[in-house]
Amino acid sequence: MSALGPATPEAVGLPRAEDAAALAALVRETVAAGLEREALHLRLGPLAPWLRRAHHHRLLREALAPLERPHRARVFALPNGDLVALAPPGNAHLRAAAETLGALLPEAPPALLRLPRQAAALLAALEAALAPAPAPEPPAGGAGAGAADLAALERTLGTASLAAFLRCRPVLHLPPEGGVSEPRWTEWRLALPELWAALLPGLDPAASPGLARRLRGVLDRRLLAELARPEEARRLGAAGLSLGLAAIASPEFRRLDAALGREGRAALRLGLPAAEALADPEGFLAAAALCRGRGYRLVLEAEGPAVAALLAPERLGVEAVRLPFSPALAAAGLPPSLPPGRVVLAGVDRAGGIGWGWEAGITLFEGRLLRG
Amino acid sequence: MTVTLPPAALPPAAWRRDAAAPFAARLRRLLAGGGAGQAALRLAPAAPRRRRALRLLLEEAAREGRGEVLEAPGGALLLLGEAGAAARARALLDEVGLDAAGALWRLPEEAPALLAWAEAAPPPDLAAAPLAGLDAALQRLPLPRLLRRRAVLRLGPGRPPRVALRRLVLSRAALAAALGSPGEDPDLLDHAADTLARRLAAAPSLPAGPGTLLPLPRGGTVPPAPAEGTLGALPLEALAAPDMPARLAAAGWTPAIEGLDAVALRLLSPAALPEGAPLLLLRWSPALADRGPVQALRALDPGRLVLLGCGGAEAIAWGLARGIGLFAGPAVEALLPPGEAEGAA
Repeated sequence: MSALGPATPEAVGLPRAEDAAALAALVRETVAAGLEREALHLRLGPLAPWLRRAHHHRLLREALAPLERPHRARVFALPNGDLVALAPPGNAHLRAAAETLGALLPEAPPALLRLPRQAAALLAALEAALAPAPAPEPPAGGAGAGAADLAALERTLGTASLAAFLRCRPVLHLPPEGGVSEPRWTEWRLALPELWAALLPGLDPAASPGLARRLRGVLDRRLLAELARPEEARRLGAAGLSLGLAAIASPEFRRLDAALGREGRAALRLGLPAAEALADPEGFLAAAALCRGRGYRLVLEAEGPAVAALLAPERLGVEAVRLPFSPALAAAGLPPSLPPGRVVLAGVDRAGGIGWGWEAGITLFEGRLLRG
Repeated sequence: MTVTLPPAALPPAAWRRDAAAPFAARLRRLLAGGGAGQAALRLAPAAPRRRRALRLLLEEAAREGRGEVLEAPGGALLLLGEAGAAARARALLDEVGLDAAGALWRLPEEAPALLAWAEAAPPPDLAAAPLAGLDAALQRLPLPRLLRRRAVLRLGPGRPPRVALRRLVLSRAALAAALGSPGEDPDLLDHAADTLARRLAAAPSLPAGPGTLLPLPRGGTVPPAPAEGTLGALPLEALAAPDMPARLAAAGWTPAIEGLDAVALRLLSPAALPEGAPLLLLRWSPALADRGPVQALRALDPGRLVLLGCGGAEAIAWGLARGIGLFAGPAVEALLPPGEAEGAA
């Protein structure tokens, strides 16, 4: 262990701990089944430098040791270094560990949470542990990407692999009554904000929507070219792919279309951005007619509840609407024109996203905490 | 054939080969391989975004009729395939509500006429888009060349027409022509229009206030309004950004939503348009009188609507019958007394 390394749970000598996704799944199941559990949340993240001292490692290890024996409690390590132990109620070892740790870490006393009542607080802690580092602020004045930046970029993008920026997340069917969660398809998405930050650091894509859309077209076509290779196309299976209208009209799309065959097309969901439906209604209807005609399913990707209300799914001929969870959505509620059965709630790594979705009648979820 | 790729966007090798091959020669090869009972449908050149939509529909039609879609150097689209493909294309165009002028050749009987047309098509423009210099060019373009002054009139039975709003419009066609090949790319054209809308809002001695309608960018920085309450024509697309209404209000604009037409009304739930926009700009076309759009419009207060592009008495009569009071377009400006007409510069 390096004295300068981060104070990960491994570094403090804990045995193998499970990850945040497993904890989120367990909390969800616990809530769904109405089971009572006690959770001990140890906020080590902010204390990391302090914990690097060997003396404290040993004390911490001793306090947690009784919990690590089989059947007593499950210990989860969160990406920010926090630890969460989960046990049935009245577990004496959990209480004892809480007391010891409270004395050991007076700066950050461990929180004892009761499930299902305090599930939201625990999910909030999970969210905080997962929160990415704040994105670098665009320079003052919100410098937009210039056309010259884009020109230079398009020259270099020709052969670059996008693999490092491709995110794949399952979309799960999670019935509120606590039934079995079931993976429905896998979303493949380019991490566009990260790509922008990597490709054009310091420039704000939102400042020039036209240029951002053009760059997105170039990236979409690169991705399609990679997916259209026969071995990739065969592997795709039940998948969701987010594409701009320019990509649907591209030769790369036609190559993927041919490589997929009839079954491959029927298993693929194409996500079309709502902004493009507003910018180019004719193009959207034409692309939708083409994609439906070839057997794809269509998903409208709405940026928020207001635009989802403007574009009702039956008018567009789309099967589902992908909507990111946000405080604004929770405040506004689903638009009445949008049947909850046709919503995919994305970004449910935020506290309460799944709970809110269930209340709204949604059963399809996508987020970093979910695993198929 | 892949001509919809934007010129500077790293076309694959096949594209370069295609584009370099003379269109007529390629067409001749394809015709030589065709059998009986074929047809060619030609759609006239359209603006880049419309052309992309038309192309998508032709490709869908081509799939059923074993056809192929070609793009002539001047921008005309050609669907070549079994006669059924052309019929399918017509049906799809109707379904989406796209109105496109076309010509039909029966093949192989009329192949000579088709080839004569192809040989007369202008040669392809293979110049690379000077994307790198676009922003500098946008700062240099003289605004007056791209601006059109228009009037919005209030019309009603039993009263003389009067000017309700003065409107400044950026001509997309003039902008595309001034830009050359970047103007062929709809996204770059959007970027150019946004940049010029910001330049315009900062221009000195601009008409301003609640009686003036100026263009707004579809996103990014919202320029301050030249005077509180100046009307800004906001592209429909800007509504995808949840914070747009608040940002407009903070900059002193009163939004007028732009981009509503017969096709947009097939997609939109008009009742969900933001209530903070007192005016909705609706573009006239005969398809607006169809049942679908008329039904969609019932959800809107006709007092908020401005009927744009009125080219004749039919449009004005339709609008008046729906309770619309504000009108624009050549047929409307013709109603102004000569002294009041502000010149369709």
